Amino acid sequence: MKLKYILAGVLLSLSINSCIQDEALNVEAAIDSCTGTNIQSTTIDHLRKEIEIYVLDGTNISQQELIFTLPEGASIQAEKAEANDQPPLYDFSQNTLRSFIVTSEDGATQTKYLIRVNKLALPTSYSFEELKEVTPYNVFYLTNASGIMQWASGNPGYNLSGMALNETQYPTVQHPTGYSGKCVKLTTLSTGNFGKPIGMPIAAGNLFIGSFDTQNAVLAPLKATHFGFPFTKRPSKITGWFKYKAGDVFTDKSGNTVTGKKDKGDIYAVLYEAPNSDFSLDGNLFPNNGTEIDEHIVLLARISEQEMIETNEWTKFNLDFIPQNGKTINAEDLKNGKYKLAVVFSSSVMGAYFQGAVGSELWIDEVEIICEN
Amino acid sequence: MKKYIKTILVLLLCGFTQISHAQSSEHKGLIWLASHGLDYEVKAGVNIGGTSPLPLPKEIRSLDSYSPGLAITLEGNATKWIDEKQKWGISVGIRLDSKDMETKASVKNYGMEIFSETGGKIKGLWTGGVKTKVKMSYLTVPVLANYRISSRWKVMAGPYFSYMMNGEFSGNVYEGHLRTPDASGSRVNFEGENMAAYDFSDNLRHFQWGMQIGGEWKAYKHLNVHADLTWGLNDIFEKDFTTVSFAMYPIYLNIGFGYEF
Repeated sequence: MKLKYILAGVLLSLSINSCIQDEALNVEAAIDSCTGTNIQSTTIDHLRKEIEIYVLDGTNISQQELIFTLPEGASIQAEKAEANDQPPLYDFSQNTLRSFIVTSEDGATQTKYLIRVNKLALPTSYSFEELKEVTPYNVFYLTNASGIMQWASGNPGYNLSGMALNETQYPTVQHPTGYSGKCVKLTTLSTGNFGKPIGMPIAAGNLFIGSFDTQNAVLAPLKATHFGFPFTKRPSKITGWFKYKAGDVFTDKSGNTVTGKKDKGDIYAVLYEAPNSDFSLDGNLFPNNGTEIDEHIVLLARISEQEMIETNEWTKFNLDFIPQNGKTINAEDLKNGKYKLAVVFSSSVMGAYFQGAVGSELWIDEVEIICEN
Repeated sequence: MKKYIKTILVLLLCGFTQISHAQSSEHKGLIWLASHGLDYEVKAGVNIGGTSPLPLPKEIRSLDSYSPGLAITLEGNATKWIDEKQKWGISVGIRLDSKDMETKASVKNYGMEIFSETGGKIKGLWTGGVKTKVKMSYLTVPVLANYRISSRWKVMAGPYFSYMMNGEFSGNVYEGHLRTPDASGSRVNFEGENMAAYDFSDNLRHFQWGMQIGGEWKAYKHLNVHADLTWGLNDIFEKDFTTVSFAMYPIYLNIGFGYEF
């Protein structure tokens, strides 16, 4: 009888394996990342197929290097070639907004991307009035109305959990009643059956200056949040308004209840040294579970536990930038864009480590970075 | 289902002992049945095989592992011999069937959807590993033409009709990347402990049918040994279910023994 089993098994697997068809060419056509000399920050909008590239003012963009990460076998071409194009060097001096077409290996999928090279200084006051995108999740403009810089959030990561049925069910949403006009409302939410088995039972609502890398959202979530944008002024204070409510049940990385622990929101801004243009701090800027501080950080303004009170009333925060790691600002480097500023809001202070309470809410409005002359 | 099988096993065993006890009194009845061209049989066996798309779609690059589950079948059938020589007959049976397997495969651009408990979903094309577990219990009615080759050998072939009582089609994806929501969407990498589970159990079709072909060898007066190949001919998924872009069919070999009255 045993022999029969083995024979049947062998026959079956042989017959099935012999049916494997020739490999089909890849159908994927997308831009997974874009880097290059002098690029300070890149925001890829996978929904609208728009890529915003930020370089410092004064950068020569007639020979801008663009190195794309594409799916296996895919190719990319500028829709209209410029005379000075020598891929991977592209001329953006005539048109800062250009179209590129990615073609899949099998030729069946073509995706058109708009790529814009921006020389933009980071604005210093934020009102959260304008949305770049409403669905499937809210994306905030960092610059108001006319601007093209956007706030980053973990919403694209939360999208993978399949939990949200509409844009209001994401951790980071716009709310119509702020301190003045609209505001941003951050909520810690459950990631359900998707997140729990992989050690990500919750998603804190967050909003930050920088970019979110969906590729790493599941694999290395701390590395998926790229914080910061070049900043050439000396910040002294960050001010704004907040409301906070802690969720009822605090849970750890495995989703287990931690009794007696209360969730806290977090508001902070850091100025850090960026040795290279493509350097940015990631979600691990307070290493060792938030007990240490990254060595690149020069100034930190962060709300204290005592100030982060639970309140239903709009409450003002006024935080000083305090020197860290014994570092001082080098005026020349500051002018040359060697420092980056990150502003981060989160509904759970340990949210980056997937610890917090579902239902914690942090509301933020009318934030301003005050700089020295 | 397990409960079912147990109960039926017990019943059958009771039946056997009953029969041996009451043989003398029922003997006449059986002779009468036989003389009127009717045979009765109970069969027990195991199903070994797989639920697979046919032919294997190009999305499937390799099968990395396969393990059949222990899938027991129990059947009772009656055969009516039609001609005088009792060479041709027609049989109708009722069978408790289970079909069980687990596979690991490597796929490329395999369309899939993962639903959350809220009913929301994430969909896209998966390139990487897929682990699939298929476990189904059926109540099956085979209607077969029988042909006796010799006193010891007979062959049977015909359609079968199954009602799926319980079904599971689930698994997870691992070591690869998801392109969501379509071929031009964003890439999400999965490695090591990171995997995403899927479950299409609710999308399985309850009515399934196919063809069965097999042979039976009379080892002793009442004991038969059989092998039957059952080949599903309709997709195991409901018609409006499009996530798995190809139809899948259960193909199983049933081997076992039977007691003929």
